[in-house]
Amino acid sequence: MERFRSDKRIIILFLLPAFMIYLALAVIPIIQSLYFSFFEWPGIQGIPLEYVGLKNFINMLKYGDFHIAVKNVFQFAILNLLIQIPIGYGLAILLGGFPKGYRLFKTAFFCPVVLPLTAASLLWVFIYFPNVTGVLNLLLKSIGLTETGKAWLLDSGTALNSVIVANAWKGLGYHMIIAFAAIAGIPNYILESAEIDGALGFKKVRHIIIPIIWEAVKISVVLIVIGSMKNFDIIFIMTEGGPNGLTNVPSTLLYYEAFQYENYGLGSAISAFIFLISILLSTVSMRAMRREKIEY
Amino acid sequence: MITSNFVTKKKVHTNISKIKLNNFLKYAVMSVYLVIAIFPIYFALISSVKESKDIFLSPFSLPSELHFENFVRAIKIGNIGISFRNSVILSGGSIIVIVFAGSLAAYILARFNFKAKNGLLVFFISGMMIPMQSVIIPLSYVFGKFGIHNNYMVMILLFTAFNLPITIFIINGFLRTIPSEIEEAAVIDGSGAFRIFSQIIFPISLPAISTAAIFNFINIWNNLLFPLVFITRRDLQVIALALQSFFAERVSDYGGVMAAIVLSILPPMIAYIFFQEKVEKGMTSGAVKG
Repeated sequence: MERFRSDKRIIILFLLPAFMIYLALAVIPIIQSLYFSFFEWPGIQGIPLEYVGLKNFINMLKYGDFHIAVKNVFQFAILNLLIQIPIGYGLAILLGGFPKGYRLFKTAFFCPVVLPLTAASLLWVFIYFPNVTGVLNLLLKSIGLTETGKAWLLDSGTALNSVIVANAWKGLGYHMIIAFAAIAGIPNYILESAEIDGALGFKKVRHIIIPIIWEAVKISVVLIVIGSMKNFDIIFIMTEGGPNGLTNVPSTLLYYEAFQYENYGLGSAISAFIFLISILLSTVSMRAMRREKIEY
Repeated sequence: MITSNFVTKKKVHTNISKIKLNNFLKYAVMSVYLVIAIFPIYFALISSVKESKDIFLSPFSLPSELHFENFVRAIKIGNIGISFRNSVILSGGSIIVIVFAGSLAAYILARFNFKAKNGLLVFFISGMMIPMQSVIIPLSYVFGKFGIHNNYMVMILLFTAFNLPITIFIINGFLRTIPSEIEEAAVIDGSGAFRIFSQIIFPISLPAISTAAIFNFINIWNNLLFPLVFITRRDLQVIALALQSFFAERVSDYGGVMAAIVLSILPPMIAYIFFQEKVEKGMTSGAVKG
């Protein structure tokens, strides 16, 4: 048995396909992308890369659109946290007592998560349609909140927040499920004895449930923050970074710079930035939320 | 004595009405969010069979007549038919390669003993951290060099590379919960490693493999970025992009676009409705490692 379990031939043979594919198309490219950020390349085959040192990073840091994109991505992350966590966890707490029909509700809450982001984004474009033909405007008009309607995605004041709401709608069910799994794992006697001790309603949620499922909250926060840094599709479809580049995030800016304007050097610097910032933020947010582990 | 009894009774009474009120509030809140969660999907379904002008005139009501021509236009003019097929080929092909390479690797990493084992597991799993947009520039450079844009084989391997980490994570985690004795008899009988893998390990891991496969399917079906950058030929386009270009090109054919949206959400929705537990488990498995 020991000989079988340490047979080098089998080990290498079985690991080889996964190792080669993963190395060639994920690991080497990510290292290359860091390397590329020190070079300039006009995007034409046959023209060699030209070493430019830190020039791409300096250009990036001086670039006004990049400042906007970074501000936007943080706004995106923070507002998504503020919408998705309370609502997602709130719904999970409501479902946590397994009320009648909870499966139906859970399924419905999770549905948006499995939709293709392209389809979901286009649906929200229809909802945000300008003037009173748009669904949202029609709704607001019917309750007397507006006469003319708003051009939600074309107005620089509302465009980014409108996209954020659509994104939160899409992602929230995911965190509802994470929270639900954690809450369902709390032994019944803990909740019962808490109730006997007088911990009811919000008190129970705050002092009993939240501390026990803190690990799940941490994971949700990290996932939302990293997800926001990587987010591309929803902005690309809903606003194309507009109006006037005001809703760009680093990932859309990277795409437009590299593949529309052929600034591959600047694009590479931005992609290095995205990679490093997601690693940094996930470590920071894990640390910031460190708490004593609850034993019971 | 009597008074105290009375007091407790009253207290019980208020508690019951409080519980009733709580219950009512609970369902009210959940129902409101149910409508919010479902409305856009309902909106897509009813609008996909309406005439374009009716979609915005009465966005909430059921269609008065069924206009299935919307679907015909989406499939023929909107390129949705071909791109639907392309998405099936691409996600299906990727899943086969992912499951093959991923389960072989997961088996070794869960069961065999060698020095680099734990390091390799971390090496694979940390791939979940790699943002897709950080690799598009170097890959585009390399693909251009070798002339392999618009190549499905390359796309399949690319999707495999990005979905292997989670797949290995899921299957490896599952295999660690299975006692290692199950292969011992076969090893003593002198069966080869391939035989043990295909006749014992693979069938036993099917629950984990199918969880990973469904999760990967939804991921790849929904992916926009890689096809956007690496596929330029219209006849090779995937559905997520065909949808976007249909919307951009035929600005006022809302009925057709809605039909196209419905066609694109159908496969992941069906997968979710039939394999609910697996989808939920697969999607959150990367999150609940604790």
